[in-house]
Amino acid sequence: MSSTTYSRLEVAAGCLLASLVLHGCGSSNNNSQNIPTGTKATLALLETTDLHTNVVSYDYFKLAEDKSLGFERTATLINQARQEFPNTLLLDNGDTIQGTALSDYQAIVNPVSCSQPLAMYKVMNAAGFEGGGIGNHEFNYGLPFLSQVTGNRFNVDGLADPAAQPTCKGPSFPQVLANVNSVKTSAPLFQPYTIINKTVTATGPDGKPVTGTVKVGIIGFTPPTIMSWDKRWLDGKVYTVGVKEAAEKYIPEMRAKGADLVVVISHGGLDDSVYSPTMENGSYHLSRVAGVDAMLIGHSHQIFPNATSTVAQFNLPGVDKVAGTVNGVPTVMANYWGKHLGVIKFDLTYDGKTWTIDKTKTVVQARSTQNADKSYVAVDPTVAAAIATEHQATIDYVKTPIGSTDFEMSSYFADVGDPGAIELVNQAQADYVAKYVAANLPQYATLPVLSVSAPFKSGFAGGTDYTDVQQGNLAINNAADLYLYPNTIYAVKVTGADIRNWLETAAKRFNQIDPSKATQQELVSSFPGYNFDMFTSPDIRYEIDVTKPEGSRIVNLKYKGVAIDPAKEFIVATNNYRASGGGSFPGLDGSKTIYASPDANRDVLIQYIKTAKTVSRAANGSDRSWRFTPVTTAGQVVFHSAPGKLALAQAAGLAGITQLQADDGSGKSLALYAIDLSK
Amino acid sequence: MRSIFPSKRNTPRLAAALLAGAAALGGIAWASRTPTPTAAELAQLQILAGPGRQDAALARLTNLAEGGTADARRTLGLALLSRGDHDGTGLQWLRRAAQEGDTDAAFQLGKLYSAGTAGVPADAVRAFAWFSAAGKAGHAGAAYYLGIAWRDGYGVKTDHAEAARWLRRAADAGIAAAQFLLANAYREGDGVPRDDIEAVRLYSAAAEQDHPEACQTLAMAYLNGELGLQRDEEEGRHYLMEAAHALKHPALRP
Repeated sequence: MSSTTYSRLEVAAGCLLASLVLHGCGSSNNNSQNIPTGTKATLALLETTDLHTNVVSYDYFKLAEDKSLGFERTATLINQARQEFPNTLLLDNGDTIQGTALSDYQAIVNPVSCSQPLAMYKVMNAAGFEGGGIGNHEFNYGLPFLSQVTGNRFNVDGLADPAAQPTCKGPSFPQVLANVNSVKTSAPLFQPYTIINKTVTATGPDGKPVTGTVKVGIIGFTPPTIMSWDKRWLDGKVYTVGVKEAAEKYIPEMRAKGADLVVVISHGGLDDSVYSPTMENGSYHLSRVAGVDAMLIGHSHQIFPNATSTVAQFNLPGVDKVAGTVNGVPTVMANYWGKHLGVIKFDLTYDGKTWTIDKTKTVVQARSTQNADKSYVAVDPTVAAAIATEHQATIDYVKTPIGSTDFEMSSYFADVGDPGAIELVNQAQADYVAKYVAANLPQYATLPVLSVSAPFKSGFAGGTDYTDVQQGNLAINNAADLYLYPNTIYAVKVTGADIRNWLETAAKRFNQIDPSKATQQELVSSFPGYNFDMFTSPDIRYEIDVTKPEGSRIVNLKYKGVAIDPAKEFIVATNNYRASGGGSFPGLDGSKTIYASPDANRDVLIQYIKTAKTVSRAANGSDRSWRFTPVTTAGQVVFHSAPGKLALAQAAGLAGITQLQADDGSGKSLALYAIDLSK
Repeated sequence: MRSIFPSKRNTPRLAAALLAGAAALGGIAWASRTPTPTAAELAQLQILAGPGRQDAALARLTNLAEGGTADARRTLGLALLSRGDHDGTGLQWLRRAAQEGDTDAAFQLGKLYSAGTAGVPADAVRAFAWFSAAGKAGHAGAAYYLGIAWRDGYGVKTDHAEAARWLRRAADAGIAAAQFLLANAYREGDGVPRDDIEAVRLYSAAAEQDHPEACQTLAMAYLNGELGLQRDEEEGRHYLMEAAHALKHPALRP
């Protein structure tokens, strides 16, 4: 439904109803302005979404440029659109203030002061944003932080009375969110909507330029599922209401207050299943609420319109992925990390009372920062310049020594028993989980806490595909080498029998070795190294008998010197991937998880190093829980690793390893090593 | 107090409940009440009465449960359980709704018995029975839990082919956790014939729903050239970043 259907009478009727049930009508419902009937204007809505604090085109983990992302390039698309269209209205969809080392730096490491805006908002203020929504990730750092950095004073449990709170520097544009309320007050946490008086240059019926005002109402929505995702921050403090109910309540109010256009800023994708107030992606149902002129959507990290999209949500009935409409409502989704800019161009005519949309002339586009020749548009240099200090501080933080190690921590010989790159991870995981259980899960306080991890980098891609952290200072970026994957810590409750099955699966890492065979045999199978879970603790000991078939290789499995009781319960610290069924380990399916931590294994490792300060071979790299069951083989047993690393095997105390060929002939910079399994 | 609870009409039978609700919630035009609340309306009341801690909403829900249908009783039970259910009445309402044939109530009871709480000791056999009741009636969430029950032997002897059949029902209904486990089954040939193409299809469907472990599986597959995929560093990196992102808002288990 376009604004054309809203006559003055209907506005008045809406106002009458509103006066009974809603806030009542403001005084601004009279749109009459001193411009002639028949005046025409072009107004382009510009959307950014899911920027995730990618301000500059930079990867803070690689400490290197990444031209495929960053607002400094989106800004160039914005500048171009402003050249192209006489009037533009720049709006952000949300998921704006979280997602890079820069955001963590400003939220956790060195929290931004009340007098400073976040770097992300600083460049958005400079770019002239005129409104924004709130995504789910805005809640990731908790409500006090969100209240501060958005310049709000939330009235929620856990924060001082608003009168006692300072108003801090935030975005210089209004932010709207209609479906999250404070438990304390039952009122919306943010203003649910606002009406922007947009001054436009237009053309009178006589062809002469005139200046008018278009009242653009913006209303924001976030996924109700924030209540699960950020439960630790939100439970008991805020609650969500359904997006449809909120829209049906507020949009008539916006019309009554004179909105010529109603723009929905919905941080959610399209889902046409039966409506529920708790559904994550409510934008499809929002499109059917009366009075919506346009939707700026996000959250799904996708591009819409996109004629070639195979994504399920853009191939639903009522969704025109070529024209960019959802049930007839012009809709745009501008991908993520600043890769795209969304554009909805409206041609408007002033009818003496309100602006009406010429629907035949509406254009919807998602414009990429990548050119047809795969190059990227140039940066807007003012963006990086505005946050040079924050950017450099983040880089310095990533490079800052957090501790030191007295040995080279590597995974070159993890397959044959060196725990040097794994034990520290296990120690950090076990420490973290043990503390959590002691503080929060008294029912499990008597259970032993163990930990497993695997050599994530084990040479698959060649001789450089190994963890290798040099002796000396450890910095944040070294932690990414020690813990490769983006995982969060999960703790599972398992039995001794489960542990045996777990290790049997991990032991598929090895081929079955025939001791009588006189020819060379390869030790390592195609079973991935990232699934070769191992303990590295003096409390647990086992042997892997590679002469046995899969499923019967774990022998002498002992806990504290005693054969493990199959019925005894343990807590094992691991990651979300394994606990949820990754790698198809028997018994691991998500249901044994007793703690799904929001904290990343890598961050827990960083914290552990910061606390320990010094990492040593003796304390953090020499506890071998497992060894091969000794066997004398008639022929050589061989494996592959980077060349010239024998000294590292010896430093790890591994006996019986020799380098046979510095080049194994694979062309992957790997050497051929032999292991004497009788040693 | 202001609240969002849209209704359209009114009937005498529920007048008392509605009056209580309308008076307490305030700000809602009286002449627009429905005779029987829709599923969406009940869900909204559940939020207001549960996480919203609105006693007026709880009172309205209680009136609806006492005079209305099983779905209202289930909703009240869940709202009370989300507030701690210190006197066990939430469980009673849920049980009554399940006994009246409310499929979702049976499913929710299955989950309670599966995980165990202070008032409900974990009982895999009972959980399996409630999941079976709901699953046979077509409840997709129950199908997922039946899948893992058959896979890992919760309240029943393991049967991986039966596990795959139930996971298929849940996966086809769009449950990401089921799509992921079924993909694993196809990858391993575990209860179904090994089929990398179907595995990739299911991992992708789950990844599209922000299932972090599916994203990570695809990342590793592209980086290592697994599952019949060509090695593709760029795709691998993309999925790793998607996995990191999805972890902040993972597809939820049913």
